[in-house]
This record gives sequence, structure tokens and C-alpha cells, in this order.
Amino acid sequence: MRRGRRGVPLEALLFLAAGVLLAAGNTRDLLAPAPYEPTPRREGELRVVTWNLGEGVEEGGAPLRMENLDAVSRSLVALEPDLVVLQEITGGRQLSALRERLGPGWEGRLALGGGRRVALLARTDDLDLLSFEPLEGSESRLLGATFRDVRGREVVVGAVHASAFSAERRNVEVGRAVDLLSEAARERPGALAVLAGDLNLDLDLDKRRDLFTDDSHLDVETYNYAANAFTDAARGRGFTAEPDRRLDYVFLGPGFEARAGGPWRGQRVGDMDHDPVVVDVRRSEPD
Amino acid sequence: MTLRLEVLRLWRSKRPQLALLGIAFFLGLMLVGFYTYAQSRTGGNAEFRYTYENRSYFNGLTFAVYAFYFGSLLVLPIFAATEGGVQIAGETSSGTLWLLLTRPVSRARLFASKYLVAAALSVLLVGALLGAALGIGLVAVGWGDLTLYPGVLQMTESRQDLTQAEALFRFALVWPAAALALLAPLSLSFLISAWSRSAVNAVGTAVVVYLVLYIVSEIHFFQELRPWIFTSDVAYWRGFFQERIDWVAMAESAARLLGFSALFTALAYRRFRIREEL
Repeated sequence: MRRGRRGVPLEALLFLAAGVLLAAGNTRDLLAPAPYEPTPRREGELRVVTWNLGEGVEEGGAPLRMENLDAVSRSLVALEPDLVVLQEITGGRQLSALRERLGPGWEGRLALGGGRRVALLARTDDLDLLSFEPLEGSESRLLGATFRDVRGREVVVGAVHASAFSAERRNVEVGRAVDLLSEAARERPGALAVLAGDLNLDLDLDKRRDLFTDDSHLDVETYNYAANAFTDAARGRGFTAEPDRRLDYVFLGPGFEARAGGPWRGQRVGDMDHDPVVVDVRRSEPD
Repeated sequence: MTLRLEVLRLWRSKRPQLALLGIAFFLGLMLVGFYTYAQSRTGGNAEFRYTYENRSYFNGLTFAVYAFYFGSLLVLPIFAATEGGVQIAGETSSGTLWLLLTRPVSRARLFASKYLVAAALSVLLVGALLGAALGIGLVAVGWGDLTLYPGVLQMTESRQDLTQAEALFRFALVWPAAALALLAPLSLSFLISAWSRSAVNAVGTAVVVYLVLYIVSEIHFFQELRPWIFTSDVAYWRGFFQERIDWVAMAESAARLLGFSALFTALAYRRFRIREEL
């Protein structure tokens, strides 16, 4: 029986190969992508922001608190956006207060009913609501509008806050918004179509299996229905809400693309549990 | 001579034949599952009103992707762990290892022969699974273009459309890539086998360790551990089904898997080299 030091070179070679290969395979950060930081918007781009302003601590959460308005509006002013889609607004008083803080030249609209509503703010003097049949039980969660931005471009926007507790309900709410927006965009050739909001879908590739929900296989249906019609503009930029979930989206219609975008960290106040998602939109370059 | 003897012993053990039977059984079940799933999604019983799934989506290439995904991650590693587990521990418990070592053969040559034969079997099993999945997909469902959607098997971050010809070429690339991924659980089972004197214990332990590591690497809760676990990369071959392959990311995953394989093999060989055979 041959033992002892005869096989040491082979053993050393294997250990050396392991070290070299493991080092070579770990040259990039395997965990989170670099956090998004807004940069000055380029000429001709349109900046879209979606932000769920609610708080997630109490059972079922709570809408935006009045005492958080100043901090929220400071973040929005710093971003200099053209279109802001908000969720968890209590009513017209909050929306008016936010609009005033953003300065002159802003128009706002609020979804129907309820104490936790979707709202839109656009830098324009020409904001029209899209008429559509509200979904029963989701009147406060869907809102559609058209406007011309400061450069005269027509924008069609759908704002959504999909149900947090029913995958089936989310499917109907998001699917309906996609259909509505697609139809409105078809009627306005060349217009920018934007679907934005808290879709409550968490499908990041990095997520794999999740301990917190068993809905991911169901939400695949809903996400892909939207992704087949529009482009997910802040894909691959990491989580947007606690605990480590990507729930907030900006989808863009054909003919436009995101130059930059992602969740802007460090803007939450109080017990808010979502980051604002910012996207700078430009017309697509021809291939 | 040693290598030929190992091949002969492997064939006589009937483990390759049993593995092929296992693959056939698994693919049969997959076909039934795929057919019933596709029927329920496209036959008017869809759970959701707004869906992307349709009849052209459920074709033979999609079946091959589904079957290979589950087969390569959950079935083949069990065969690899079995093969690695019995190679040293099995020979130890039956007393044949002691007899082999009385021949004028170095431990290095014997270990290398065993590893090479087990690795070759793993490569062939990957090819058999892939080929059979594609063949069954062609005969039972019919091929077509391959479309992959985000969220489905975590295959992609954005919708991918590959023509049939391009998809078949990508399947050909997946074979060596997935075979390389299988070397890591094989090497781990060699390591366990080198420390064990019972084949049953070695195989059982190797299977359990693989499954535990795979589950941990899949659950988001443990994401900080992923860089330290080889199972985080075992499905890296999915990258070949992207319209634009990220070759750097693929090479990094392959390097990590080979690195873990080399580490496990080095530790296994060290143990095999210095242990007493009595």
C-alpha cells in the first residue's frame, strides 16, 4: 500500500487550482447592485417618479401623514420631476399641499373615494383624466390621465396601487390598467405611455424562493402581462420596499426607453416603507 | 489499466442503467405534469384573466427547458452524489479497496481513475437527460421557437425570444455547462466518501448536504450566504438562454463551480492519501 508524500504535488495542485478559480470567480459583487443616485436630467428627457408614501408599521399600514409632507416634498423638489405618481394619499387636502410645495406649474388629480388613494402630479397646465369604468372595490387604486409636458409632448399615464393581499385582485387591477393604457396610447400615436405605481408584484430574479409569500408563481402571470406590452424601466436596480421587496414599477410604452433609473434610497421619513422610484425617459434610439 | 477496470466495475454495478431508468421515469412524470398544466392554462380554465401563456408557448422546447431545469438541479445531483459516495466508501466497506491498494498502483492513480469515471458518467447523464427531454418534446409536443418569461423558473429578468435553431444551439452549449455544474456535488460526495466507511452513509450524507445547501441558496432569507455556497451557481447554465449571453458572468460562475470542485477534490484526495486501510 503506497502512502506518504508521493501524492503531495497532485494535492497541492488541486488546492492551488481551487484558490485561483474561486478568486477568479469572485471579481464582481454578487449581492446588491450599486444604489441608484439621481443625476441631472439631460436635455429632452422626462423624469417620472412613483412613490408609495404610506407607512407599514401598523396592522395593514397607514396612509401619508401630514407631518411627513415637508420631507416628501423636499425630496420631490430635489428631483425636479415632470410626472409624479403617488400612492397612499388621504385626499385632496394632502394633494393640494404637495402641489403647492412643488411650486407653480403643477396640476394634480386624485382617484375616486377611499382614504388611501392614488394621485398624479404633472408639470403642465393641461391635465385631463382618462375616462374609464372604475373597478368595483378598486376605485381609489386606478387613475388614468393625459397631459402635455413643458416641451409639448403628449403623455398618457396610468397610476396603479394594486392589492397587497390578493394575487387574483392584482391581476385584474394591473391587467385592466395595461389594457386601458394600451388603448389610450394607440389612439395617440407618438405619445409616451407610462404605467407607474405600487403593483405589489415581487419577481426579482435574485429573489428566487421567498419565505414571505407563496404568490410569486401567480404574480408571474400579471407581471408578464404588463411586461409584454410595456418595458420595465427600473429593472435590475434592487428592492423598492421593506422587507427587501421590489414592488414599485415604472413601465414605458413603445418608442421610449429609460436612460437611468432606480429606487432612490434614504428619502423615507417616519415609518414609511417604500423608496421613490425615479426614471429618466427618452425616445428610443433606432436599432 | 486502472481506468479500464473502473469502467468495467461501474458497468457491472448497473448504476448507469439505473440512472437512465430514473431519468426516463422522471421525464414521464414531467410530460404528464407539463401536459396537464398546459391544458389547464390554455383550455378555458385559466385562473387569471390577464395572462401571457398560450398554446404556442407550451411547445417541445419549453418542455425541454422545464424538464432539464428540474432534472439537472434535483435529480442528477442525486445520481452524482450516489456515484461519488460509493466510489471510496463502498470499496472500503466491502474490503475491495484494501485489495486494490495491494496492487502496484499509486493512490493518486486509483483516486484519479475513480474520479474520472464518475465524472464521465455525470457528463453522459447530463447529455442523456438533455437529449431525452428534447426528443420527448419533439415527439410528444412538437418544437417551435423558445420564449422565456421573467419569473418562470427564474430563467430570465426580461422576456427572451429565441428561434428554434438558436434555441437548439443554446441547448448544445448547456450540456457542457450543466455537466461542469454537476462536478461540484460529485466532488463533495467524493469528500464525504473519503471520510466514510459505509457507502449508505456516504451517499445519504452527500444527498442531504446537497439538498440542504440547494434549499439555503434558493431562499432569499439566506442571500448573504450565497457567495459561499456552490449551489448558488449550479443553475448558471440558464444564462445560455438569454438573447445576449453575459459571457463574463457565465465564466465567473463556471470558475466558482470549478473552484469548489477542486477544493472538495483536493480535500477528498488528501484524506484518501493519508488514511489507513485496515
